[in-house]
Amino acid sequence: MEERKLNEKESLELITQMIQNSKKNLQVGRGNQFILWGWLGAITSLAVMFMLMWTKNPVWNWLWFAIPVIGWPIMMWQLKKAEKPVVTFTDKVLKAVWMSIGSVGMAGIFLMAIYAKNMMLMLPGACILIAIGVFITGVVLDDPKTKTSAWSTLFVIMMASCHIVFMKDHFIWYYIVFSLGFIGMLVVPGYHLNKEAKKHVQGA
Amino acid sequence: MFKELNPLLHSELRLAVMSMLLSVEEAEFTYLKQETKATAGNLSVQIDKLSKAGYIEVTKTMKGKMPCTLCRITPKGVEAFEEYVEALKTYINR
Repeated sequence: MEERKLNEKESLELITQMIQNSKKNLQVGRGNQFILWGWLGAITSLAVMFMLMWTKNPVWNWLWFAIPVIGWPIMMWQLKKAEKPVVTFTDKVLKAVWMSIGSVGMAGIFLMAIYAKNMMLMLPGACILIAIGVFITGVVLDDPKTKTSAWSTLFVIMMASCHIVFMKDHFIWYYIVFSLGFIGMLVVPGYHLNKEAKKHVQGA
Repeated sequence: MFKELNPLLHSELRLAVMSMLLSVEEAEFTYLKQETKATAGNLSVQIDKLSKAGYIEVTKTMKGKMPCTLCRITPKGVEAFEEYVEALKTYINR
């Protein structure tokens, strides 16, 4: 491309082409963070369950903090590795959404750890926050499957946890439900977003 | 009546840079070079012209150990671009 004068038609064509070019190739790996936090949540949930069953000691609930302790450095490494030469408005909006959700979530966990008599509300609370985040991500990226995944999984989790709490069912199911919830709300949309991004790049 | 086209924007490379910056928050020099397929020297000169006109903001930073130049469009640049497109319409709709 050189510094040459264009006619009016060429100008319009160039504007359209450049705007389209700047929209492609920018979404690759977007689902990686969903996959990371989803698997981490699911595995931690099961780990807490096994340790509680094995030792009968509630101190193992502190294992929940393994999620931010392990997840945060890996996420920072992932972000550094995937640093893009361009930042879009979508990136900016999604970063703000997840930073707000992360801050509210962490504050909630700390307050509960200090004041709550039990941590029963922690998992449903975390799931509501995550579902809101995943849903907003779906809205911003205009991806119906991500939106559906967020709300349908949240609905199933809420129904299942109500059943477990009110019917006084085996409490161990609580952890299994939330482990599956992390997979349905984060891991599934994560792989879906990565697949869509790959398709987008190949089609561009 | 035809409106006059802004001469600073009515050039292939500068218009390409402005169009790309309009649809992103910020972009690195290397990205603009790759997308426009321009030479580094030429692109640098055109970016400097746009920057001097106040249409774009250029920030020099470091990415690891490598220098990195970030470009972003300014409100003045957005306004100039919109005026340019309005002027183009008068030619297209004649």
